[in-house]
Amino acid sequence: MTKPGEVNLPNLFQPVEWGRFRIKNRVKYGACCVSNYNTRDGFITARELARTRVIADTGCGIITNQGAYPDPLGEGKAYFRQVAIFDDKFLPQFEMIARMIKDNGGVAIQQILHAGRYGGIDLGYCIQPSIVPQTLPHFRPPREITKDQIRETIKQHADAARRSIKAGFDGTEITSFMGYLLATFNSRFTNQRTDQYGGSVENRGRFMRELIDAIKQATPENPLVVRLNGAELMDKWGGNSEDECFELMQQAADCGVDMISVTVGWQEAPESSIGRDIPPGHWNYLAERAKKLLPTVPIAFGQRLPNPAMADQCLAEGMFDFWEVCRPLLADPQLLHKAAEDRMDEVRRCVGSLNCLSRLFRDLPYTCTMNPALGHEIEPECSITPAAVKKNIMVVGAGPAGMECAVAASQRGHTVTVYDRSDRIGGALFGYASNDIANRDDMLSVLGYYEAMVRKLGVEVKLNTVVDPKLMRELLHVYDVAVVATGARLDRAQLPPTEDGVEILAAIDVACGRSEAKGKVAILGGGKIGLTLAESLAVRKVDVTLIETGKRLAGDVIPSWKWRHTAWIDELGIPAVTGAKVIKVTREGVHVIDGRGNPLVILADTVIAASPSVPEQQLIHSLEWMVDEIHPCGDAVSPRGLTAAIQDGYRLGCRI
Amino acid sequence: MTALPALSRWQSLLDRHSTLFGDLEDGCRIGIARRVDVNQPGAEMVVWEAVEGRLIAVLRPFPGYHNTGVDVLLVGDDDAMAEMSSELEADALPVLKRLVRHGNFVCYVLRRQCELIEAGYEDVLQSMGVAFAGACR
Repeated sequence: MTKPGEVNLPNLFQPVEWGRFRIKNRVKYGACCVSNYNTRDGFITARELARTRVIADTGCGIITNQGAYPDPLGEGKAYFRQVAIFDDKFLPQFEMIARMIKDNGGVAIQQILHAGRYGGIDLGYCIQPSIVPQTLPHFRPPREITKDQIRETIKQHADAARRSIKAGFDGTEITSFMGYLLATFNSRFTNQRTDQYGGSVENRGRFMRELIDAIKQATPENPLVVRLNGAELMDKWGGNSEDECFELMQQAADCGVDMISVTVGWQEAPESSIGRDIPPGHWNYLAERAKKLLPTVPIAFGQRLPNPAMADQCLAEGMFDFWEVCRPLLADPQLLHKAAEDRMDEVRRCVGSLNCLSRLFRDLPYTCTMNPALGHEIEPECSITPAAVKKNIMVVGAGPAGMECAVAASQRGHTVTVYDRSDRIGGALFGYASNDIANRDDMLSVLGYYEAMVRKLGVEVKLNTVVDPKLMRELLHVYDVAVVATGARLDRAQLPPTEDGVEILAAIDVACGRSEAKGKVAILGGGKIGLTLAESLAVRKVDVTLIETGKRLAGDVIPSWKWRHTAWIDELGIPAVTGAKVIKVTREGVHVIDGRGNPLVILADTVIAASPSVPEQQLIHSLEWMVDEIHPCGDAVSPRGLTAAIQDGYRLGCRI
Repeated sequence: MTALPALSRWQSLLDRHSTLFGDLEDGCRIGIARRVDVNQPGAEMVVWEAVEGRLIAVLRPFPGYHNTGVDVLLVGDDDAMAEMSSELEADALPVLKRLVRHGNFVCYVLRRQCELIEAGYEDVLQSMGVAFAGACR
């Protein structure tokens, strides 16, 4: 039976033929992230299998399993716990994954990932066509690949493809996404060879053509997908122009590939490609160009295209053939099912924080800001299971920690009431989301999700209600559990002395519109809160200066966003005084000793403090003899931010 | 094609910013080369070399990316070299930072992050706009 959302998104949910396969819809799960859940020697773990079970159930017509490295030495291995496929000994778990995908009606594709420039993680070197040093110190120094090694590498890919099919996969994929080995051959930036593999686009594409040919010969009955950049974003550094990228696509098509997945950017590219600072739909023109160039080759695309409705429209316009999704399905693995059932308001959107990638490049397993269960699917204690004893729970604080806890606890069968002294849900997140210059709609969607879920689950939300001992006396014995998710507050005891009559505003009050910044502004604290507010004020043409006691700005910012904030500070012309000791605040402004020991006065009409903050825990002690169970949660335990708040709230909701 | 600016002009810049470079250990080397010289026989690069607490600008052979003998290598396109050359006597470090950010200079790192930090590079690289931010943007 057709579901209501399928009617609204007829192109997305339209079954299509792809070679000998009938695909149930036009969605391809993209292998965008290596999970780092596996053993150091490349074996797939039970944790990975549990995660893959969730992926298999996403409802995508085609599902690409994460990239496995094809060489026994590990020159192609980019991540400490990446899976390997250089030997039949790895096959039993691959067989299980292929079976899971097919049992759910998907076409199973195995990606073969030789990371090239980003590989050799255990070796202390990487291989690439020419010696072009790294621009990111995380990666290994390069060695030039010899012709013999090229031949061996191609054979390893073909063997890996044969092995994938033997494991039960329907097809394979090779990838030049983000600067992996294939990309380094294709790109002028890293390929400076003078033999038949370097020089002209024709020569640079030779490795790709030989690779495609070898895999097609090894697995002639099975489709091969190749991921190719529509734009490397490396052209300023001497990399390929977009025109050259499309010449390479033409070469791949001429070699008979069965699908081209159009991607954007390299890991080290000097500009954004997938963060939320890139507006949804920004890169669609690349897919459109690929489709026009190669009308008979199926084109998959999805970079910064997180919305099923937008994807459906693109499909209707013939921009591409398959919507390739990964990160939105990390954030909400039920995205497609919810879209099919017209329950898009219940979707947890990917907010493009790139927590997933930040973790990978710290050699940690990937996790998701929005999906606290991701990576913990195997752990029953991180799953929504019916509560053994149904309890009446009060959650104090409607920020992300409190709301997440309320949703999880309610899904387990508890009766939940949320209290907040404010007139809206969201806590501090509302203020900072409203000031996010990258994409406030993405951040505010977090609150939209919670609003939809509490409505659906029947969680009562009592706004404009201060929970204090007086109220609690009225509610005595009503609740079995109190969750204190009251967030953090500015620690005024640590603020510098002020001249009589001078007030230092709290950043959260300015961010939420409860206080107004007038005239020249100085912000104390150059961490993520101070930066977000300063950027937002600067965009509104407010003259703002940041004052940071630490040596550097952005000390508490997630690694994948640090560069973005520091670039914004420069682009917006926001002056920053770092290594500063704040002496006092007067009507004139902020008196500091700068990092070189020089006294300075930062002229300011308004002084805002973004730090230091302390957990708001007073209620925990007040409630101690009034409620059976009391649990602090989120920033009320320790001020950290959105990811930790959601994790804390979810885990507590699963546990009560 | 803009030539590499004269050593005396680089030295003057380094001396004006001696505090910034003061943390660099002796033997630290930052190379500056032109993109057109990559793989050109006989090409040269300017090297800022830390000697007894001071950075000295010297001219060294630029053998392309092999065996450069530097810890950090800045390779600029012609626009970058022209702009740096015109700004060397002014406030050139913010200009360099902007040119790195805009991709006119590529900053290659030839030592590991922890080694660079231990050798005192943190402030220097920050001033050049090189954030060790990690990958995938």
